[in-house]
Amino acid sequence: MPGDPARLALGQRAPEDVVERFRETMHLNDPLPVQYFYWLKGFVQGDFGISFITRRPVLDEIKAALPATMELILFALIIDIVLGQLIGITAAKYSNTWIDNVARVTAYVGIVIPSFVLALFLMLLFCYVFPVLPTTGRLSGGIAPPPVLSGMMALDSIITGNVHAFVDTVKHMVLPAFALAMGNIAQESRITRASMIDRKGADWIAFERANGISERLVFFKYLLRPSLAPTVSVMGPCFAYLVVNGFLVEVIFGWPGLARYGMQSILDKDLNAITAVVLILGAFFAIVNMLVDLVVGWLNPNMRITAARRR
Amino acid sequence: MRTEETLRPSLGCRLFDSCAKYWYRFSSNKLSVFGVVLFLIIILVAAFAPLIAPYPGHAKPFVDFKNANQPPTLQHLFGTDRVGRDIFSRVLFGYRFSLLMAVIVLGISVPFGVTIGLVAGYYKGSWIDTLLMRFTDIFLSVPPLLLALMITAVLKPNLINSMIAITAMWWPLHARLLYGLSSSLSDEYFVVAEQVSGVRGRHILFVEILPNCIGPILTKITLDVGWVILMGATLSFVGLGVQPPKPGLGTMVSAGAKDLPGVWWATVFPALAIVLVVLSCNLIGDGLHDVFAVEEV
Repeated sequence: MPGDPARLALGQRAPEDVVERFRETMHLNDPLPVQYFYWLKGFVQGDFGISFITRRPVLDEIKAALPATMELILFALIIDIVLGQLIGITAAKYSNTWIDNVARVTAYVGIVIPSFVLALFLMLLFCYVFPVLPTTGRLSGGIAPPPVLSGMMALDSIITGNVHAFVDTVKHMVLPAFALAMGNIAQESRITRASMIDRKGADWIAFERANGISERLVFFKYLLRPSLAPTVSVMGPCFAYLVVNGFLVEVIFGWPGLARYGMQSILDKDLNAITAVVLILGAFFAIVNMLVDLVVGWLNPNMRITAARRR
Repeated sequence: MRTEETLRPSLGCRLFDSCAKYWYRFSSNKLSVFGVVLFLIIILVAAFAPLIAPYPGHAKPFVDFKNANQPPTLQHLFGTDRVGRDIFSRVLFGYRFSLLMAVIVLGISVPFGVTIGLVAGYYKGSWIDTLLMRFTDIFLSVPPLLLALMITAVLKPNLINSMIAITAMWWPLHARLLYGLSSSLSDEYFVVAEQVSGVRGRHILFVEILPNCIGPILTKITLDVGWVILMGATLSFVGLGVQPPKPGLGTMVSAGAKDLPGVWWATVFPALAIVLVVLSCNLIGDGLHDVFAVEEV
């Protein structure tokens, strides 16, 4: 393997016998199946091995980094759902007016701008040109961090009633979360708009109206709810998009999360850390996709029936 | 049979006719035409970069500290970076790496993915389908960027290896697209008729089914050019693609980001260059999508 991990971990000037001993202790000289066995043996005992770089257990490092990423992704997901739906619904309601056109152009821009470029532009705009938001980290220097309960700083500071820390940490989250969410907002607003407009002319909508059901009820219950299913079914890929782009956005905003940790370990060839990060992310994708399937089934009874028939 | 053959206009003539028809439909979407113009300009600019660039030497190892960090002026349209290189010239040369990457990555991954999807879809339900598509699923189960990051990390970080990484993550997308198309087309009567009359599988696959998939493939390739370039820039951005001092677009963005906010032009212009090429490909792709969607109806 080019770029020997042992050499990278110990530095260019480390004597060869030390590097050799390191390889020996990390089982790097064994054939791959044997290495895999060692890894598997540790894994079933809940041990991901130790980091090549910091020499601390990988599990501890991940435990420290995971809540930060979870917090950022949840925040991005909230922004994403609220804005995506809002823009999509508004565009559908006022379709083919200037509001719709503005929404469409915004969506297009959101899809075309890569998240790391957006992150840099947002940083330039809101941290330097109009210095209203902080550039890096999770909390400003002068503020005492809330006690670690869930590890999610915003949640912890709310639980302990620390309003000051809460406002500050949310301020830190706004830009990275928005940079992450933008692509999804664009996609979801487009899907919501399209599926609502598709249903607008349906006979059953005309029927509800003829029955004298209020315009509001028609709009939200009979138009919006069935339109949610396609939106929710792209949530799986959207979540993946958030996590993976986190690898770039977390680095840019110095967010001490799992993605930045993963990125750093990829650059350092810290094998134990890379495997652990990929494994945890993979597990997350599986869980999220399952949840998405459940919600889609709840929103779209048609799907439940087909699934039941297949059985 | 013979007479009918002679009465038909020549192949070139028919090709021209259908191209003219498609262009007529395509050109009704002004934004897509704008995309085509934009993309052509980018290609030309990249092809003739050594002639157009005001400082072609700045794309190579070059240092001129006297003119470092100059803001955009007429001499340096996009300004200069921290070692005094003209960013405009470097962006022009940067497009060369990006386009080269798109051509090579798609040139390998599209034929490969298309063949796999085509075959798997045609033999739907058999062991061939299971083997090929489960193999494809392995690649699809890992988020694309993550897969590319890991491959480049294991290999040495440079342009060639980032191409390998992106090719490895790209072909499954085409395999999946073609699987859907091919499996639905293989139920059509014209395919069944061929099967009944004992035509060989290879002929059915490549002469009967494949030409019917050209529309979606072409649309996807157009969009892909933008996304592949973006993926290449992303890998360069994290230091796993084009290595400095070579002027990769992503490489320049990440180098410029160190000098934010003072030297904003070193980040903003290369970043805009990436956005521009992705935008043009998306505009063209949307136009093609509409053209071929009409065809399917």
